[in-house]
Amino acid sequence: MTPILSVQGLRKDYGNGQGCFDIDFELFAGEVLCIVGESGSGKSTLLATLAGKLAADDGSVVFRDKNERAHELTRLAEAERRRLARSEWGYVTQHARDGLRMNVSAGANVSERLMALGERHYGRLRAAAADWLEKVEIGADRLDDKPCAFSGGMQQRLQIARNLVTRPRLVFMDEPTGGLDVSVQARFLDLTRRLVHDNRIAVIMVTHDLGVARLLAQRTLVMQGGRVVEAGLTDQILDDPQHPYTQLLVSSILQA
Amino acid sequence: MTRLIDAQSVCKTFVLHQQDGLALPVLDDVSLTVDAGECVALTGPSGAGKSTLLKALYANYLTGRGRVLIRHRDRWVDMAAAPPHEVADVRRHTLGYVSQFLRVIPRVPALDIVAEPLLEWGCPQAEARDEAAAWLARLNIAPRLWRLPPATFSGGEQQRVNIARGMIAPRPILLLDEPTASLDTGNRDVVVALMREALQRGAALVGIFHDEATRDAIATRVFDVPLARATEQAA
Repeated sequence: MTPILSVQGLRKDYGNGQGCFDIDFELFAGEVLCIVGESGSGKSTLLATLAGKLAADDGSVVFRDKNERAHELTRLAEAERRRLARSEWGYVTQHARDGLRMNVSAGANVSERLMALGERHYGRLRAAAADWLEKVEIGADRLDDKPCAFSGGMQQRLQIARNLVTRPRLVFMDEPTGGLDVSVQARFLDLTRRLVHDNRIAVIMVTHDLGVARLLAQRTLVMQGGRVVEAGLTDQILDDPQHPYTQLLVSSILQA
Repeated sequence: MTRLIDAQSVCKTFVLHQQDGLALPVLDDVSLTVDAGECVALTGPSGAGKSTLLKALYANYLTGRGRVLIRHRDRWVDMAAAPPHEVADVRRHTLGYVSQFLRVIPRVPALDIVAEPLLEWGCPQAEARDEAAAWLARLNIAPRLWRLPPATFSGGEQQRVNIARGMIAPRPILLLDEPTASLDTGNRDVVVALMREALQRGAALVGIFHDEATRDAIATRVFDVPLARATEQAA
């Protein structure tokens, strides 16, 4: 089995001790990996650097596409990066306004990636958009509504539809449930869990919520001060944490 | 007989960094082998490390020294040293774990929770759901509950859903942490019968059974987990 993502010695240095350093890990097809840690631990920086949104200062990120072709993401030309970002991966942001086009319809938000890949047939685009809205439990009658008229939970589910419509191999998610109520969060997590599993999509998700990691991720990286201090199977990290910082995180979980 | 588990000199010490690095040795040089068709009951006083040993076999706990060899696809995998995706593969196909408590997934109905291990084996959904229904029926879960998420079920009902989920995919090795703890006699007998069937198909079972009747009914051997040395302060 070859990993779809191999990260070696990755570094993004903001120069004031902030950033991420010495990051090494591999991700396999269909695997869900959570990156946990407190604010300022470098987890969002790592995610943005992996996806090529930030330029890495050192190290290598090799991505294998659907045709088993390897791409070194840290040295990719911008046009090629955009092509991969449209066809091979997705990016779900914490704030919907960063991940959606708020001034166009929900349907247009979902079909944008299909159009970018060459689909021009209006009927098929509309049908695909309606189908994906249903999949994320948004009624097809909301197809022509703009996302600004949606609740926070609906906006996050719309982001999922917009990203998964092209069935990417890998989706980056940055605190996707950060601003959601718990009941709304449960629906988002269940949907994500099911769609990711059914379509065998690999996910790298940044979260500060260990419960989210337990529910979704086979594997977890714990970050502190820009470095990975512990990595392994999620249940093992949560039930038998080794590093002092992980022990502190785990012992701080509220029992409902 | 085919050997399926070969745990050699397993050591486990918990280091509590928030308690000034307090070190709690729980397993000290514990070795255990289990063959196909055997059911080993772990015994020993509370705190002797029965659950810890079970969790070390499952790689839920990391071990300090020693090897935890599990027979997986005709070769040995050391669960204490294997990379995460390999441990996940061993768990998916070879090594099942039935704990006392169900970890509820919000919104997912009991039927799908039970069917999930079969789906992971590539079983078609309709077939997996039929099989899950048969398991829930056998474990006396009322059909009106099958479509509901188990969050609101009683403790005993949740435990039986968990047993169905843990046993539905016939893996060669089953680890059981008090599978009958909160069950009435009737349901306990069902679980004992299910464990017997697993033994008959050649599975190896390792379990903690506080209830003596269950232990006597199913265990082919008893393994007394030795007490580790007293607590010591880390340097």
